[in-house]
Amino acid sequence: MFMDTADVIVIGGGMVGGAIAYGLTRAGANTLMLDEGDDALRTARGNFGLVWVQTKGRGLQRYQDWSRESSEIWTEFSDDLQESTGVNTGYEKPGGLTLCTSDEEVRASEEIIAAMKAQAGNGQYDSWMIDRQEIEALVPDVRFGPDVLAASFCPHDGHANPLKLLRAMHAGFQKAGGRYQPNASVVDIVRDGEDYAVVTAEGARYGAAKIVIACGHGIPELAAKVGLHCPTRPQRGQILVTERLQPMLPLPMGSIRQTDEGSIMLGVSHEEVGFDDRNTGDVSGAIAARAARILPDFANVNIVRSWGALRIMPPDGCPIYDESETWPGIFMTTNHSGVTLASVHAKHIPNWVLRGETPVGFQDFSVKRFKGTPHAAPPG
Amino acid sequence: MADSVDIAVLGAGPAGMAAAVVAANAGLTVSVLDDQAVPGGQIWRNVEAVAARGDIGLFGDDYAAGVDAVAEFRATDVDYRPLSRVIGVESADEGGDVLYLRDGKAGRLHAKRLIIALGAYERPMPFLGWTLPGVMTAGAAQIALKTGGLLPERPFVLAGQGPLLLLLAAQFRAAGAAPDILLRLDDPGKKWSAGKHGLRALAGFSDLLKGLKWQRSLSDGVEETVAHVTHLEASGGGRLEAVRWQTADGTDGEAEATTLLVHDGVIPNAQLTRAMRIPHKYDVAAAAWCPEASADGQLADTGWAYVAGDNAGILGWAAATATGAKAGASAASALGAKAAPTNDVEGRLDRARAVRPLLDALYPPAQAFTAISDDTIICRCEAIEAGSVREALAMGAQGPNQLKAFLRTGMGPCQGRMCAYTVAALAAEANGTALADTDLMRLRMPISPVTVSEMSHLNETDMDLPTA
Amino acid sequence: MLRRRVEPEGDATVRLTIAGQPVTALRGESVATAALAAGLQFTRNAPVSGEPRAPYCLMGVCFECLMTIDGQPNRQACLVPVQDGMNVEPQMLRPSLGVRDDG
Repeated sequence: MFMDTADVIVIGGGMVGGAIAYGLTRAGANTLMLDEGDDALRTARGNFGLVWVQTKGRGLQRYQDWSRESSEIWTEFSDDLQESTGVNTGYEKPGGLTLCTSDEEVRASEEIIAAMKAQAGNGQYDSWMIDRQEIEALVPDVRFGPDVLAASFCPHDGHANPLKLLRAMHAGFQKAGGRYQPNASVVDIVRDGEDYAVVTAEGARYGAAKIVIACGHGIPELAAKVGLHCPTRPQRGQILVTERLQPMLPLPMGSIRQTDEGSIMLGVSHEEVGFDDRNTGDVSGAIAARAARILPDFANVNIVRSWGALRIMPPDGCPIYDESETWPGIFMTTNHSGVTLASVHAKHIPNWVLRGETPVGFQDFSVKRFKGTPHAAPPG
Repeated sequence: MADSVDIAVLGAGPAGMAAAVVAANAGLTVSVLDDQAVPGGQIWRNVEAVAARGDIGLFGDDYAAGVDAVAEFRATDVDYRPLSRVIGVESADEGGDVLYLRDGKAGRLHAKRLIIALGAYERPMPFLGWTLPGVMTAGAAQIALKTGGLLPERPFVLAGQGPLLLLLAAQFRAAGAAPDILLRLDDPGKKWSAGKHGLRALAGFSDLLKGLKWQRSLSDGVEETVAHVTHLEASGGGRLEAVRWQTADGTDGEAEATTLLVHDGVIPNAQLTRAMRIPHKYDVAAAAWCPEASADGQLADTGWAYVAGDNAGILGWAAATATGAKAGASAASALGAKAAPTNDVEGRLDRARAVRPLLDALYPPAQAFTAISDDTIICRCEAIEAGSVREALAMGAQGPNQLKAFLRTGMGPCQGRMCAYTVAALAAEANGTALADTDLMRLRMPISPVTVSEMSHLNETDMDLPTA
Repeated sequence: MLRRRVEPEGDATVRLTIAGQPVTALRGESVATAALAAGLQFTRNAPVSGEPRAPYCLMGVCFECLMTIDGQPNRQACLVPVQDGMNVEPQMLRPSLGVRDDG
């Protein structure tokens, strides 16, 4: 009656599901990854590609530590992927800038650094302000507009090619023996003796003792079925992509970065528009205007593509990892930092899922941190 | 703020001009945006200048018909905006906003009703060596002849299938440059199976007669005609030097060539309607994805946008003038204007539709019986070969969108214009599904490249864009 | 690959520079056909593979005719009408922004 059974079923084939399934398989677990079809609402195809530390985790120190650790082990993670699949994720860690183009932005950056330092409490927060001359020394091949006053710099920031990362994780997962089942849109999870059965819209059933729910915007509905509350919402971000240029930006500058292929990615908006992932002329215009203000020589550069994608946004912007109390062995993992956190997802989530071992302070990521948002009652 | 008009027409070819004339004559304000510097579209490309320089005879009656159509269009008071490139359309205020480029700026034009008539382009036909300089489409050479008076250099090979191929061969011959070799990629056996369409096709008899005339003129002046070619290859060091082929019966051939012109029929230019997320349906007979629309061209899921001409589905220029007029009249009536009935619209359409099944049956795309080798580049922009696509499909990529993510097929400046059909065909082949059940890759605004400076002119909302 | 039937004359003549050479073109034609008539063997190097490419469709679809026109890189030469005094160069690989090229 089952199409397939496994030790663990990972629901979702995006950045988060892909990393976890890759990690589980390499940890020796018999893993099945269920994914939707070709035109699914995929956040993983809309990623900006930053492996970013500097602004992560204000209000939740564990998230800053988690991002920092991910950055520490990203090189090893990327090398492993390349070794097993031949796909280079293009990861580089030259440090990253957040450019400030007004006194107000300078003050805001300074304030974030001060707050993060105070929150870390151990002198471990590692970002600082640099002035215009220092920016020009770091990025010598382009001319900055007069509005560029300063930047915050973090040596742990970097970037990767998100599409190559996704492809590498899929390839690595399959090379290690993982099974990938596309066109499997999961609509229900039911008990099956000691184990669980996953039911798809197509009517197929898959069985496993453990399940990881990592299907992005599909998590809230599915998690509710197993007694887990997932208070995420979609938040739209639009991005413009230029034609390929000669290498000229040696490090990512927040919403402006040059990819390993030569394109410049220009971002990014934060829009509360529900599940509408269209891109729009007004936001494209605003992004282009800002880019031209920061880098005036980009005026004649061609934008060849653009897109809108929906972040999976928890109320505090920080990841949620939790296991159902009433359906033990069912886990949910949700966040909008699938690229940054890919390395810790591949390394740590398998230990949590397979053996209940978690890194120090991992319980801080529990959904219980959202006071006054009651857990959904277990169905039945 | 956007400037505003009753009806915006995108494209100044046969359909767009007909729509604009009807709407303008109904007393509405009409703007027509077009890529080109002069009206006429691709079929009537540069027709005013060609007539003025006395070359109209080279191109036959269909082309000559453009002289009057362009003159009629010029005589109206429509706001004609040449050298304007549409990059997207957004729904706004019970109508649409057209985002477009002109004079180095992106602009926004609001229209209560929108008529999209962006025509067609030649079906990309990938084969080994098709990216070499010296290989171009037959339509491209025709444009070069109409605009710059250019002719193919010899040795000149013409390869492909379809009625337009025959027309082009005749035009090149008339201009003094008959192909040295004609490689016909159509299957002569199809003539018999297509016979059942004969009676219905009689209604379009004038088109058929034209077809026969082209067929006859084909053999004149051509050194060599090879029938039923099933495999084609171009080779050379940095530019075309030789063409190789194989026929259905296994016979190989090879010839030196400086110019290879290819043609495999035409497909609707559906980039804009796809970017607008209008549902598209695969028309099996025409082997093309067409936007879903009502009989008068109103696009599915909109109350304000229409599609007309070959953009809606390939029927040729005469039908395009009819569907353009219909869409123009329907849009005008919707705005409460009294649109004058146009001459014999339904008759023109019926004749064009009647002959279509026969043409579709006679000339299916060559790709349908020409296997694409693994080492053939299918995405020209990103230089991606068919073998990589097949590999990614084997790894579980489910279709064009996941392939795009894995391989970048369709991510270059042409945005899949050259590879979308091939990628869909390879996906269907790997998944064992019908093309009708396979979608083309998703598209978004801008459908053509826009510079950062041009795009920045769309900045109207003082949007908060945090630095990180 | 293509040659001109008749050289432009009189008012119909446009004079421009293509790949450093003075060229006459026919008013109303595109930069791309003028480049072909001038005997240019290719209009660009593909930015991914470095292969030479030349116009394929001449109607704005294929993007193989991208050239640098009056200093602006990657223009679709088939959509730009010729104008007197234009300076046109093939698009060699990816554009730089010409800033601090002296390194």
